[in-house]
Amino acid sequence: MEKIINKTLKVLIIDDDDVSNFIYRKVIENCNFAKKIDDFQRAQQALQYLIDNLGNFEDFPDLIFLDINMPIMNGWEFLEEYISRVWPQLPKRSVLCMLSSSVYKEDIGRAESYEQIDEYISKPLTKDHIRMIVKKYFNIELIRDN
Amino acid sequence: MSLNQQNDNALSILGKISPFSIFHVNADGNVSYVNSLWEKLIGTPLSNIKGNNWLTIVHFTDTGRVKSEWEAKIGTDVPFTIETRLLVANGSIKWLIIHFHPNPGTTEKIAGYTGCIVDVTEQKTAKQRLNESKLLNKALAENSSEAIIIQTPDTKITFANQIAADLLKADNIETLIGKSTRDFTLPENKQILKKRLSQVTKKGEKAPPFEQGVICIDGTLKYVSSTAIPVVWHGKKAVLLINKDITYIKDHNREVELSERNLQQFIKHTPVAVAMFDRSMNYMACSDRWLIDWWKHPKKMSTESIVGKNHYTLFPDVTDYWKKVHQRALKGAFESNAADYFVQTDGTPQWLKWEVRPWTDNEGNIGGLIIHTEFITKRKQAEKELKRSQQKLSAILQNVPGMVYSTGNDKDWTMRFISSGAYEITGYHDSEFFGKNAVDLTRITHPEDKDRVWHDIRDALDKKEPFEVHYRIITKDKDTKFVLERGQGIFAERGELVSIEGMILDETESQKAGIALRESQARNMALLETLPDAIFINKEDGVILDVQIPRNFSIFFKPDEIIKKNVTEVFGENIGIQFISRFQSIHNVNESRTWEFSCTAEDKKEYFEVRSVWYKENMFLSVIRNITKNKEIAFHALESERRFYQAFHISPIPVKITRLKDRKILDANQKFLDLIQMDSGEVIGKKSIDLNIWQDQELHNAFKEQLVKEGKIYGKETILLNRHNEKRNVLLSAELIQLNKEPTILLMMVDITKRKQTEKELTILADKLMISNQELKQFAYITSHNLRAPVVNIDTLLELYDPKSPLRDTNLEVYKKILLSVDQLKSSLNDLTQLVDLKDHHEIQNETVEFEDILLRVSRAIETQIKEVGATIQADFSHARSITFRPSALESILQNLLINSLKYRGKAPPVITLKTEVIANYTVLTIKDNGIGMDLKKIGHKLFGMYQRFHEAKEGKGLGLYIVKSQIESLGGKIEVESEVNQGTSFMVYFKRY
Repeated sequence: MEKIINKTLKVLIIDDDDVSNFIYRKVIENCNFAKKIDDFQRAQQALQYLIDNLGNFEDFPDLIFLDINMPIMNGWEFLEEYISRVWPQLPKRSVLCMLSSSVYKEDIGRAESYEQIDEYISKPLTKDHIRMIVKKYFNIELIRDN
Repeated sequence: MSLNQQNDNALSILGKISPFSIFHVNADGNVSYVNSLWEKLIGTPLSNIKGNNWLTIVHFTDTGRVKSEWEAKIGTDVPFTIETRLLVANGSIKWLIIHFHPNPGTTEKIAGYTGCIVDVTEQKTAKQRLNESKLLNKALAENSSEAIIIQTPDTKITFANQIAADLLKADNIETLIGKSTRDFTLPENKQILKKRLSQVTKKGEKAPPFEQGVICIDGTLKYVSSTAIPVVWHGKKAVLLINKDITYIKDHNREVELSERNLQQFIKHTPVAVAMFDRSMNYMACSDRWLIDWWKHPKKMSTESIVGKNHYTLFPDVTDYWKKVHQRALKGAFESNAADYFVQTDGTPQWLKWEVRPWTDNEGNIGGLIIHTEFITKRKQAEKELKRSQQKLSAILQNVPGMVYSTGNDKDWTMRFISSGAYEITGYHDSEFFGKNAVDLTRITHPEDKDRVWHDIRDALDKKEPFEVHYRIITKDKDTKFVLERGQGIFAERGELVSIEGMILDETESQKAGIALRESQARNMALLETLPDAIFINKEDGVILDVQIPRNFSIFFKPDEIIKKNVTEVFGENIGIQFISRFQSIHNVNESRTWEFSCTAEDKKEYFEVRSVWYKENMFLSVIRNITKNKEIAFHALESERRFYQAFHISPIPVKITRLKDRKILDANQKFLDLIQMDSGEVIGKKSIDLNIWQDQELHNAFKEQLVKEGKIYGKETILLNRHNEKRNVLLSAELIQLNKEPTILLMMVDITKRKQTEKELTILADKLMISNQELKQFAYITSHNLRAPVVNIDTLLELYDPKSPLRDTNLEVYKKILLSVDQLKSSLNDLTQLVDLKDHHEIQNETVEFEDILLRVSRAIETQIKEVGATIQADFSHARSITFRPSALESILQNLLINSLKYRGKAPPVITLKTEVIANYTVLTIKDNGIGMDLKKIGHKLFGMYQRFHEAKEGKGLGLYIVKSQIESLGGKIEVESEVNQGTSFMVYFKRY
C-alpha cells in the first residue's frame, strides 16, 4: 500500500506519440507526486501554453518532459523557441527533461550543450528516473512501492 | 543735470573702471567718448580718434565689409557686433569684436551707440596657426620622400601620398583610399602586423621599423621597412605608416648571396689548396684540394659544410707561428714563403709553399684572409737533385781541358759561365771574364781572324745551326794560340737567341785535339742527362738514331736497347705513327710541332708532350716531357663536369639541360625522352618552346623568369604534354648552373601522373565510403527510433498491465495501446525490410518493367484505402511504357507515392494523375495529386530526409519518401517535387535510361 504524500508538482508532457503520452501519464500518476499532468501532442501548442502561463506562478509546470522526434516542430526547434521566448521570463524553477528513443551520441551531446536542458532521458521513462528527478530538483523523497 | 549728462557721467565712470575698451559714437559713427584702455589697444592718443568716424581705425582690407555691415545696422534699435581687424599704430594687426549698444535719442531716432571692444587677436591667431599647421602636416605628408599611409585602427586607408601610390603601383592615390592595408601584406605577416597595430592604437606607442614584403596592386612583391605611429587624423584615432622601400637592398642582398655562392663554387673547384676566411678565421670557402691536403680527420668534411666553421677549432694543432702570421696578415701584411720546411703531425717532413694575404671589401677594409698552400716536397727534391747534378756538371766542366762557356746574347757576348779551363788556353783566370773590365772572347781573338769568326758564328746562329770555327787568340802572355771553337745558339720558344754555349779547345797541341773532342761529347751528354725531358733523334721513317732519357723519366728505356729501332716498335703502333706523321709534316712545312700522347705505365696513365723539330738533313729532334701532373689538374676540373653528365644520364628522373641564352636544349636523358615520348633527335638542339610540351606557355615563361631571378626552383607542380598531347602531371625543379662557362638551365622533374590518378581514385573511393557510411548511420538511426520506440512502449505497457484484473478501464486501455504499438512495430519492420532489400540487392539485374503492370499490382494492394477515400487514379503511359528497373523497387516507389497522395488528401475526393515522358537521358514519371500540398520554402530541404513528418494528426513514420529517394538514387535516378499549399503536389521521378 503506497503512502500518500503531498501532491505538489505540475507536470507537462510533450510527445506526438499517443502511446508514449499514455505511458508517461500512467507512470507519473503511479508516483503520486503530481498535482496536475498536462500533455500535448504538438510542440507548437505546448509552447503557446507555456507562453500563456508565464505570469501564472501557480499553474506554470514545475517539470517538463520533451520528446525530440516530432513532426512539424521537433524537440530541438521547440527548444530554440523555448530559450528565446520562455526561458528569460520563467516565473519559477522549471525542470526540463529531454526524452528520446535515440541512443545516439550526437543527440546526447547536443542536449548536453544546452544549459536549459536539465536531464536527458533515454526512453522508456521509468519510476526510477522520476524518483531521481524529484529528489534532485525538488528534494521530494518518493516512497518505494512494495 | 540732463539725462544725457547723467549718461555721460555714468559712462565716464564706467570707462575708468571697466577692463574693456569702452566708447561712444553718435548716430553717424563719430567717436564722442573713448576710455583710456582704448588708447592702449590701438596705440594712438585719445585726441587722435575723438571726433573722427570710428571706421577710420578699421583695417583697410576690412573697411568695405565693415562699412556695409555698419550701415545695415545703424538706425535699428537692436544691439549688434562687428568683427574686424584693426591696424595698430605700431603696424601690427589686431582682431576685435566690437559690441554696439544703441542709445535711444529724444525722438524716435537713435542718438548713438555705446559699446565695448573685445580683443580676440590671440584666439584668432591660434586658430590660424592651427590651420597652418594642419596644412603643413598635409603638405609634409604629401611631399614626404617616404611612402606615407594613414589608416584607421581597422586598417582602412584614409590617406596616402603619391610615393605610397607609386610604391604599391596604384594608378593614383584614390585607388588606395578605402582599401585595407591588410590587402597588401603577406599572409605570414598578418598576425604580427595585427599585434603591432594594437600596440600602436591601444597603447599609443610608436612601433619600431618592421621589414616586410608587400604585395603591390599588380601582384609583384616589394620589401619595405614600415614604422607605425599613432596619430589623430581628422579628429579620430589613426595610424601613420611610414614605409621605406628597401626592395633594392633586398635584391642587392640576394645578389651578394648569389655571388658568394659562385665564389664558393669557384674556390671549391680551384685545383690548388686555397681557403678564404673572415676576420675571425671562420671559413668562407675553400677548395677541394685544401681539404685533400689538410683534412686528415676520419670524419667527412666537404667544402660546403666547412663554411662558417672556425679554422682553429677544426685544426687545434695550428701553432702560434701560424697564428701570428694570420694576425699580421689581418693587419694588412702579405706574407709568403716559397719553401717553408715543416714536419707534419704524422712526422713526415714536408716542404710547403704558402701565401697568406688579406682580402678587402669594397671600402678597402680587410675582410679576412686568403691562404694558399702547396706541398712542394717533391719539387724540392727534384730541385735538390738538379742542384746536385749541376754541381756535378760544373765539377766535370772545371776539369775538362778545354774552355766551356755560355754567353748572353748581347753585343759583347757577356759571359754567364766559363770554365776554369780558360786559364790554360787564354792565360786569363775564369773570374777575369766577369765583372768590370771583363775580358771577352772578341777582344782576345786575333785581329786578322775577328771578322771571319764573327761572320761564321753569326751565320750559323741565323741558320740555328751549330758552328765550328778555327781561329787564333792572343793570350794574356801575348802568345798566339790556335783554337777550335764549337758552339750552338740556344733559342727560346719563339725562336729568339737566348745564349750561345760552346767550347774552345787549344789546337796548338793538335795531339790533344782528339781528347778534347771526346770530352766535348761527354759534356753534351752530361748536359743532356740533367734535362728533365727525354730527347729522341729520329729519321723521317721513325728509326731512332739517338736518344737521351733521364734516369727518373717515367718511360725509361735503355738507349742502346732502342737505338736503331723504329718508334712504332718502341711506343707501339698508335703512338709511333703519330711521331712519323709529325716528322713528315715538319719536313713539308719546316715548322716545329707540339703534340701530346698518353700511355699506361705501371697501371698509371701518364701524359706526355712532344715537341718535334727538324734537326738536320733527314733527322728530327723530339723533346718529350712528362705532363701528367698538369693533365691531372685539368682532369680534375673536367672530371666534375664528366661526373655531372654521367649522373645526368643515369638519373632515374627525367632531366633536361637547356642553354639559357637561346633556350636550346643541350641534352636530355632517356627518362625525359620517355616522358614526352620523343626521341633524342627531335629534342636535342631544338628550342624548348618548339617541343610544345608546356600546357601553359605563360606558366612556362613565369617559371623561367623566376628561375633566372632566384637561381633555383623546387617542386613546382605543372602539366606537361607528351607527343600525343597526353597530360603528364609533373613536379618541376630547376637550377641555373654554369656548364661550359654558359648559364644553363638544369630542369629536373618527377612524374606524378600516376600519383595524381591514385589520388583521384582515392578521393572517389573516400566519397563512396562516405555515402555508404552515411547510409549505415541512417539505418542505425531508423532502427534506434522506429523499432526501439514501440518495443520500449510495449515493455512499459506490459508492466502497467495487470493480468489478474479484468480487461476493462485502465487495463483495457493498456491492452489497446499494446496492440497499437505492435502495429507500429510491424509497419516499421516492413519499411526496413524494403530498405535492407534495396541496399543488399544493389547488384541485382534490372529488367524491363511495364508501368501499367506495376500500377495494376499496386492499385490492387491498396484497393481498400483507395475506395475508402473515393480516390480516382488516371494514368497515361503512352510516351514511355516501360523502363529498365527492378520491378520490386518500382512497385515500392509507386506504392509509397500513391499512399502519400491518399494520406495528404484535401477536402475534395483525391484525383491522382500519372504520366510518363522522356526527357534527355531520363524517363520521367510524374505523380500529381490535388491534396493539401506543402510549403516547400519551409520544408523543402527536409522533405526526403529520413524520419521527417510535416503534417499533424496524420499517421506516418516519416520514412516513405526517404525510401523512395534511396531506391531511385541507388539506380542512378533522381526525384523532384513541386507543391503548393492547398493546391496539390507533383512528384517527378527520373529513371535513368540505358
